Amino acid sequence: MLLRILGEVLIGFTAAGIVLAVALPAAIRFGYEPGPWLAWAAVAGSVAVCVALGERMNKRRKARESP
Amino acid sequence: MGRTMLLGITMVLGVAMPTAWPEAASRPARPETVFKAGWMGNEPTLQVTGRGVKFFKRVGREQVSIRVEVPGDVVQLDANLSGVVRLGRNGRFLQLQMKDAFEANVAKAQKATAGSRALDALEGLVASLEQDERPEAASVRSSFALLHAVRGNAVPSRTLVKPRPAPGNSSVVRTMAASAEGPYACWAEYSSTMYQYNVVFNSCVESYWWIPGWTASCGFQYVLQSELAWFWLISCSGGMPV
Repeated sequence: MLLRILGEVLIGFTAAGIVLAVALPAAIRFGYEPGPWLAWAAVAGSVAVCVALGERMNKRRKARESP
Repeated sequence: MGRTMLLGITMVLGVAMPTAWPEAASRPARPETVFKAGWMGNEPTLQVTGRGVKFFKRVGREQVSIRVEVPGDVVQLDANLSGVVRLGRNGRFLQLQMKDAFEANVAKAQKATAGSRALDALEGLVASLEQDERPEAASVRSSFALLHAVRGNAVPSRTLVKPRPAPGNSSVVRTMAASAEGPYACWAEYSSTMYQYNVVFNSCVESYWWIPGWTASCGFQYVLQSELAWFWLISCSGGMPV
């Protein structure tokens, strides 16, 4: 359980890099100068989505495996 | 089988090692960079030749002109005090004005100079002059920074700013000054690097849009670069992502 959550958080951190790669140049192009809060927002959002997706997948897998 | 593999590995290493190339062994020493300062009317000029690139700069009272030339590619930039920048490539010029939207100007400048071999060669020349403290070398570096600033990349301009030594120059003060940079310096470095990667990605997609596999590899490269920059940001801020 703990290891799974840790894995989801790690994947969330990695996904935050990709989210920032899209969000940061887009924000600059539209005239905004985003601060470090954007990194926090990206991390929070990505980790939340990854944990939610991971748990959902785990629940579905368990439901499929149980008779 | 094992002997054939060993022979194959030896052959590959023999071909891949630079010393195995006949021209590498007899390659002449790279000619030095030549600086030539002069005057054109009342305006000082600087001509630099080296690393296969010709660089010319003319500084007037109200205008600066920069010309970077390699065989087959010429980039020229004229900037004046009224905020008008004239950027040219291979005889085609576009005019940028400060009153126009910054993003639009950057997009135009990037499009005009996309894939420029002259700018690539100038980057090599500037890298070779990195440790050179002469005013001529500093002038080349500042011109390089100006050319990149017009293209929306502020990193070369930032590298021009060297931290002044603290009064007394004691090591304690220096350590404090270094630690006072804080997370915002890391973020500024990260955001400018990411913007630069994005410029390269856009240019790659624009150049090879007609090859789907190539555009996918542009995207793959961008993702890898952005992940590396992201984890650099985390490590730069002492484990926290800002």
